[in-house]
Amino acid sequence: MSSGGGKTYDYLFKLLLIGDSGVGKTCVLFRFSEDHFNSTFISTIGIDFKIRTIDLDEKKVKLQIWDTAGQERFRTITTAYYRGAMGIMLVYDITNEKSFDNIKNWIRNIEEHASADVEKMILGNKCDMTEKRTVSKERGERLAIEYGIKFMETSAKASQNVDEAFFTMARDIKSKMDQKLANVPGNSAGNTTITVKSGDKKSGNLFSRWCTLL
Amino acid sequence: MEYADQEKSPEPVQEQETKTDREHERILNEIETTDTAFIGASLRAVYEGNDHRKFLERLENRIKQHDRDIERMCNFHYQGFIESITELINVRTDADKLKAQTLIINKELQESGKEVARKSEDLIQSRLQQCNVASAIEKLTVCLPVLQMYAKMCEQMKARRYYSALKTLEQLEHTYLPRVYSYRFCDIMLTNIPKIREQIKEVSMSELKDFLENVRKNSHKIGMVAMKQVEKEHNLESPCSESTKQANPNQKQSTDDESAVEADRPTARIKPTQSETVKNHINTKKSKPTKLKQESKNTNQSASPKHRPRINPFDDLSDEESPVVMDNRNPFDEDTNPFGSETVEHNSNPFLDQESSDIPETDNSQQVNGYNPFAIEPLKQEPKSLLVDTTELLKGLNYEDLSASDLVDFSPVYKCLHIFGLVGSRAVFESYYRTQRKNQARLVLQPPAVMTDNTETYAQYFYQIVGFFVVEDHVLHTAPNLISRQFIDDLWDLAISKLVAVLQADSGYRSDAALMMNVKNLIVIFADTLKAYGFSVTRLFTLLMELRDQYGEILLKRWAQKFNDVFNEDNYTPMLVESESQEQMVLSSFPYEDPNFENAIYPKKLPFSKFVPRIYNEIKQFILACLKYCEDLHLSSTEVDDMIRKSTNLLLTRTLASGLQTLVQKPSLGLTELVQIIVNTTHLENSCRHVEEFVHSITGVRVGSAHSAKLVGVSTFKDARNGTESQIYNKLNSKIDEFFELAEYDWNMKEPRGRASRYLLDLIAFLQHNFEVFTNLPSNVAQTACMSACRHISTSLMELIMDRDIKLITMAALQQFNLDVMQCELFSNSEPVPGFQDGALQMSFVELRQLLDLFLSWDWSSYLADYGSGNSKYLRVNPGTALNLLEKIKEERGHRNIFTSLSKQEREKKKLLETVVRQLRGIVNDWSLLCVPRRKLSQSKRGVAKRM
Repeated sequence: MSSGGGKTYDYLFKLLLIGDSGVGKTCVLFRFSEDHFNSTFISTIGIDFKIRTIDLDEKKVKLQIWDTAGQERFRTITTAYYRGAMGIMLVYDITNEKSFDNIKNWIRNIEEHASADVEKMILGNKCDMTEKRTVSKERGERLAIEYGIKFMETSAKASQNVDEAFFTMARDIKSKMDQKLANVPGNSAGNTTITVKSGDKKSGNLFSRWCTLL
Repeated sequence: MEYADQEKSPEPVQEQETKTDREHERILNEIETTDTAFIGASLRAVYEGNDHRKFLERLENRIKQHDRDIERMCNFHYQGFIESITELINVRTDADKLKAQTLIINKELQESGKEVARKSEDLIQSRLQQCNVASAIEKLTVCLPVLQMYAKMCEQMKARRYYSALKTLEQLEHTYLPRVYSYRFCDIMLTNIPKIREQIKEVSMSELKDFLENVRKNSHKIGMVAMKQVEKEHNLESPCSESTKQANPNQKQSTDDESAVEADRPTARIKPTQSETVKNHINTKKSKPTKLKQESKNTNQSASPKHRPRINPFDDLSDEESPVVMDNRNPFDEDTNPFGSETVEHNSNPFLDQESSDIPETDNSQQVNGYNPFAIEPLKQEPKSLLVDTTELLKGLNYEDLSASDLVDFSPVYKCLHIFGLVGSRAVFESYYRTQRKNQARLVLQPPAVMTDNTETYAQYFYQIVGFFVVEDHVLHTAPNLISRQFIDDLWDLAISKLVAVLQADSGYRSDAALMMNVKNLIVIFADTLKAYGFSVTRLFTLLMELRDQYGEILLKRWAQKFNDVFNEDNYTPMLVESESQEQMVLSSFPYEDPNFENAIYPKKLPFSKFVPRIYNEIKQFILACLKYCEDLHLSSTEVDDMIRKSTNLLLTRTLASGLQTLVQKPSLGLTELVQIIVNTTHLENSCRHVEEFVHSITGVRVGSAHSAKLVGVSTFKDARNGTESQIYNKLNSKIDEFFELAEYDWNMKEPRGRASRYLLDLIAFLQHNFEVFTNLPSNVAQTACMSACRHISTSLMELIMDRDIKLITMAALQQFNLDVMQCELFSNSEPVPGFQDGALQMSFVELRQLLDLFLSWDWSSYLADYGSGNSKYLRVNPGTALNLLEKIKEERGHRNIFTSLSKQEREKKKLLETVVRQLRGIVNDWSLLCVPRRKLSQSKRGVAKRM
């Protein structure tokens, strides 16, 4: 009853980074996936992704993080990825008022295109640039509270809070999923096409995997 | 008697008588007139005569006559006599008075005479003194020239004009002293003369040593001035120097000032350009070196003294000299006049000295020294006065008008030369000078410990050497025969071989192009400077050519870094041009022609990113940097062209190519960047001809002429693009791999889910979006990329299903897998990239499709029947693959059959399955024997099919 070759993970979470162009989504992702920073601004064209496997409660969690282009012209492409995402990072630039204001629009986008129970998080990036800061941490926090989602200030350049943000996000998704899983055995979800076999020692994992097919 | 005669005359009658009468008369006259002593003869005559009586009578008459005469006379004079007596008595009283008076006068006279006598005695004394003084003056006038000479000599010694002192000394010794030798001071002088000579020798030697030290200290300044002059000349020759000149307003100001001063002077010559003067300077230096000094002197004098008060220390010295001499020449001057009161007080009077010379000789030298002008004064050395404060000198000055003698006082050399010539040890001096200078040359040539640091150390080193040879040259031309051409040439040979060795050894450590360039410039100026002095510098130019290759290497390294920076700093985003001025700017830095672009409206979008114009300009910069090295090397344009082309080709084929290669292989590089690099390299490739044009415009050598190598930029960029393309394919494939890592198939599933797997949907979407986005990718690249992606997916899928670890696959799982493959086919049909030939892309999945069709339709008979023929439905199904998969499926079937009873149909199916397996094995075995010809193989296969 074994599935495919050597399976390397227990969970697969798909995350999505959104936010205005130039707020540092790619840099945050690059920091998280390669632990590196590139100061030249290369705007993302279309869509890209990175995969990093992290250890969470002794489980291997594979994070497939989609990096979207902030530019308006790629909006149709990028919104296509909202649906599959289990967690969405809304990134703004603390030195750019506009990008902060736009967070509201991005949240509206999420509400429109993503699944309802998607995990969200607001990241105020470039927090190393204190001299150019125009958006205070308090405002970020207030906004996050307003929407009832988590908030963090990060710096891809100084490597601050990047890992923490993703770990927090992954942990939240995992606990949400574990909770759901606990509820499942009683009433198997109607829209899943797979039944979990008792006796399959990896059934939980399997379930979680197929959850992504929502 | 007359009376007697008259008496006798009446007696003539008687002859005899008269006769006797006459006789008596004669005797009487005789008696009357003669002395009584001689009366004898008369008496004898009387006696012998006759008539004595008559005679007696006559005598008697005569006596009577005389008595009468007497009486008459007495009567006549008596009164007078009386009167006279009376008068005499009167006179007697008067005489007494007179006598008394005379006595008084005499007494008085005696009195006054005494004074006179004393005065005259004084006078005599004075006369004597006068006489003595006169003789003293006479002697002194003889001695004085000697003393004057000596004083002059002393003065000259004091004024450090030893040569003239020596001359004076000689004059003194040979002309003046012989005239006066009897004096003690002369002896002293005579004994002192050799001592003074010796001393002068010593002093001038020590001055020479100071000079040597001074020259050593200042030679780098001399060298600097000389090199600066040449450099200036260089700069003036090249038009670009204008800017540098303007960049230094102070300098310009000062030259303006000077020219203004010059113009003010009525006799100002027609203002020559500075370079001309410099040139003249150098030329005259070379051709008419003796005149040079004169000339520089003249220029200095003519120049405004306010501006340059102490330009030429040498001249200055001589200028100062004359008034001093004038002042001191007068020996009666207070200071020098031995007769002057002051000098007496000072005990320097030679006469006093003579007294003091009673003191034993031994004391003499010591005690007298301080005072005696004849003694040898210890000559104080004032090396400071010798050293010209060159730093101060240089500060206020331009370099143009300076010559070597302006910076160093050469007089010690000349002095020494003359002095030693005079004392006859010229050869000693020559050899001394030469050895000293040779030693100095060695010191000068010793390179500083750390040369690699900066240009300054190099400059100092070169300045020193130039300074050394400028000084030597100056000495060669101004001090006749002190050093020979041969000597200086030998030194130069020594120097140049050492220098070349040093530079060669040192060049290995240099890695800074700017430093290298500076060193090269220094060498060029150095060479040109010394060339102007008539030294052979061909070896230096050979060295420069050697260094050129190294410079090229350094440049390549530097440009590698530059390229790297450009790559790192680029944003790999097409450039946006927002205004016309911006467009102008971009187009001026990079040639780009596109009618669409020209007609577009702002903001216009260029296809390439900033990296293109930057690289293009870096290449140009590199060419210019190469060219810069060729400057002043006196190379022909073809040589320059050849060098530039070679270097540029190296830059393109080595540096840029490897830079691009490293760039595209950077793992962090995304597709965005890679795509942009492809676009960029295309444009760079197109710009190659402009680079070619650029080289041509510099060197004037046409491409294709005999020895010009063509630039190989095109191939470089082509290669780079190929590399980038394959990198894109790899990148895409690795992304696909990442998706496949997420793939999860439940090969045991009982029922397919009815839709493709999530990972595959994501993958397809990802690909679709990317191909949608990268519109700027050249279509052939996009096609290849798409094709390669599809193939990679196909292979990956095949690998998935063929995985050895999967022992069992349910038909449902196979159906699920089929759904995924269908999704892929859907993608390939959707024409993700335009321009594919019909079905070309779909071909990627044909093998999978046929395999799946074969299994899903269980059409083994036709597979086996048509196997090997060209029109088989399952042409691309490899029997091995089929067998492999079939065994997994068979397992599943067998597995299932454990639980269900075998119906006949089932049993037949199983039997058939086993037959198929057997036959497939057969084919596979045949395949593995490969040596079997294809026809035979197909025959045997057909045989198998028939048997079925």
